This record gives sequence, C-alpha cells and structure tokens, in this order.
Amino acid sequence: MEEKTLNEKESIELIARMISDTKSRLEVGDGNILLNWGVLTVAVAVIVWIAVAVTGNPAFNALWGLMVFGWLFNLRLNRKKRSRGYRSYTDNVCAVIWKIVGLLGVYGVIMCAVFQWVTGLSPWLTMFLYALIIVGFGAVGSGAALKVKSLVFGGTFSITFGMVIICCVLTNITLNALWVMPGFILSFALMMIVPGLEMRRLARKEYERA
Amino acid sequence: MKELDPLLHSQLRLAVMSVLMNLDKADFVYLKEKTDATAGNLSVQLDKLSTAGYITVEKGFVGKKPRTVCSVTEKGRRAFEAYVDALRQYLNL
Repeated sequence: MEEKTLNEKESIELIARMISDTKSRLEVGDGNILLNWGVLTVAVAVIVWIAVAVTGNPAFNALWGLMVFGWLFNLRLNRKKRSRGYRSYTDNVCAVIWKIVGLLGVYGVIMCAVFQWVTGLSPWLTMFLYALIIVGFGAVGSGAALKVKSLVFGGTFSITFGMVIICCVLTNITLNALWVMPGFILSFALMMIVPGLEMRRLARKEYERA
Repeated sequence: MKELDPLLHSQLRLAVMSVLMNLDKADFVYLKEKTDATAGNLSVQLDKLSTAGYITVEKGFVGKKPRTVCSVTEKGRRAFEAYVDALRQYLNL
C-alpha cells in the first residue's frame, strides 16, 4: 500500500470497506462479563435464600459477601478485553457506565456498614435496591449503546421490580422472601443471563459473517 | 471544487484514517491486520499522519510487550470529513 494514490471512486470504496470491516459492535466473549455477574448473583441469591429459609437465621445474609468473587472474575475478563487491539466508542460508554455502577456499589456497602455500626439497625435493603435499580440502569444504558434489546428489557424489568419493593416499604407491605427472592432472581436472569447469552450468540454471528 | 488533501489521498493513510474514524483507539497490530500493510510501511505512514497532527501515537507496554496505540485527533477528524466532502463533489454524490 506504499504511497499508492487512488482515484476518487477507489477512495470512497476503500473508506466504505474499512468502515464495514470495523463496524462489528460485539466480539466473541463480550457477553461473558454479563454472564459472570448474572450467574454469580443468581447463585448467591439462591444460596442465601435457602440458608436463611432452612435455618431461620438472618446472619446467613452475610453470604452476599460472596459477590466479591465477581470482581476477581471480572478482572480476568477485562484483561482479555483490553488485549483485543482496539477500543470503540461504545466500549467507552459501557466502561464508564459500569465503572459508575461499580463505584456506587462500593459506596453503598461502605454506607450501609457505617449506618449499621452507628444505629445498630440493618440498612442492607439499600443494597438490594441498588442491585435492582442502579444495576438495572446500567443494563439499560449498555443495552441502548450496544443495541441489545434483551439488555434494555431486562434492565427495565429490574428497575420496575425495585420500584415495587420501594412502594411496599413505603406502604408497610411486608417483604416476603417467597416473592421477593424469586423476583430478584428473575430480574438478574432477565437483566444479565439472557442478554449475556444473546450477546455471545450475536458476536458469534458477526464473527462468522466477517 | 475543493482540492483533495494529498495526505489522505494515499491508499494506506486513507485506510488507517477510515479505521480510526470508526474507533476510539486501535493498536498497531490491529491496524496492520485491517489494512494488510507491512509493519515498516505502516510505521512510516503513521509517522506522516502523526506529524501532520491527524492522529496521536502513544507508545507503551502491556506487560513486557511494546504496544503502539493510535487515535484520530480533532484536526484529523475535520480533515477526513473535508476529504469525504470533496470526494462527494468530485463524484457528484
């Protein structure tokens, strides 16, 4: 390609070809981060639910701490993503969204711990709402940027369920694990597992087309 | 009629700019793969684009491996858009 000049038609064709070659939105493995968080959240929710239901001891809620493993998996998956040779504008948007969602999660945990230490009461419902509403907004934002409809739908479902929980708390309706936990699990399945699988399928399709 | 920017009116430089216009950043290996260029030629053309202020070239390391990452500048973006406008005029598009 050394210094070869082109005529106008060839230039337009070259531009079109290059844009078409780089327009792929998804890479094989892009859905893995969502799957990682989705499967982990659902698994931990099931473990906590069963442990608390069987023993009747709310101290088993501490098992939510297992979510820390998600960060470890995430670090590994992000390292893989960084080594793929390019970064698109969509990648930037999603990275900022999930960085903010992650930071809010860390602030939330610190805030809840401080409030519990100061008041002696349990404010951990905040994290439950964080998971449904803030993470839900993260999913909607990413879904809009990546044009993955199931991500937008799952996020919206999760936010709606979070709002139902707020309405129940404000109107003194008892939050019963029998419907709250399945709702939470369903929210994360729709918000992360289903879109994660869809993204893997779409990425594989784009890869085969390329 | 607008004159075509001679810096962009070359196959490899135009290919590089077209790839970078579509992405936030791309590394040397990715650009080489997409443009089918040799490393030496790509390196020379990246230098020319960088000297003209059309792209930024950051050299760094990932672990122990060297990594060159390129991204298009605002000046490069404007030049590319002007180049496409000029092409449209030439081709009556």
